[in-house]
Amino acid sequence: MQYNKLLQLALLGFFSSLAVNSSAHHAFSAEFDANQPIELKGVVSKLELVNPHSWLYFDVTLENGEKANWGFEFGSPFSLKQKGLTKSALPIGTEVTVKGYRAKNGLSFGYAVSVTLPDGKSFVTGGAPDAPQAQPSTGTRT
Amino acid sequence: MSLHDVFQAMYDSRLGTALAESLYVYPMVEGVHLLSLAFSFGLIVLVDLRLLGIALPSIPVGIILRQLRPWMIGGFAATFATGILLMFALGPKLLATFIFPLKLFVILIAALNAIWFEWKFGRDQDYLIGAKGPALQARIAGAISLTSWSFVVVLGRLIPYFDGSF
Repeated sequence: MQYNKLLQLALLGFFSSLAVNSSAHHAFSAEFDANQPIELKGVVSKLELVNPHSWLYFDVTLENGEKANWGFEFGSPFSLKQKGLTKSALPIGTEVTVKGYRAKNGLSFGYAVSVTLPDGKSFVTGGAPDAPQAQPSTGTRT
Repeated sequence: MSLHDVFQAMYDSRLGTALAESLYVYPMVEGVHLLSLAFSFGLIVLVDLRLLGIALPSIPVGIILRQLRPWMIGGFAATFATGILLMFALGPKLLATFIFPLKLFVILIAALNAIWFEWKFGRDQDYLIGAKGPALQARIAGAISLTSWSFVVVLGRLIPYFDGSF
């Protein structure tokens, strides 16, 4: 009885550590700033659906008409597929809205927490275990 | 053709693309790369500690080498092969910082040290059966091996910490 409980506990610990570690390849806070949430709308220019982390690049048109290319980090292909996001969902030219956090280095990079397609379909992709949850967009936040 | 071009060609190859985009194979390759360390690095540590005279002092070096060598070589082959596959999967971003090139350099030092040890003591029966007693040069080889392979493992683990693209 005692032994069974111990075994259950050990198995639980083992599998939950697998679930956490699978995306804990590096720390969110080493590269991205949780105090700088960002939301951008743009047109997909490149998708690198690769291990261990994927990257989505898209062209954002600024208010002054200038264009800027932004890159956002996502999880592994496996974790994205679990969330329903595959290569076919994001062909080049797709208009996307990406929410996430800016890179600490101040360049045009970020860590994606969610991505929304033109048809309104939204995928919550934020996978780093130490990443803060996405800020709900209430519209009243200043 | 620069080193970067070689890594780019590996990354762009069919194998590199398939591994990079794979759902299951990449994590499995990564898993085998680490699990096989039990046989490659793990047994190397044991042999090095024997050369230093710390572990298994009552067993002659020759017997340890003869019995462990197949396991060590098998483990090393698995570590090495999966390492090559990971190079295909990751491509030029491995060269973004000095960590991975340094890892390759330390592997070279460790390999040269192992070859030197084989050349110097591999057929020295007096040493191998323990008739000669501990040899200073063998101890030095053991220390170099232990230090360099330990560095290789640590440097491997450091790769994602120094590069934003991981």
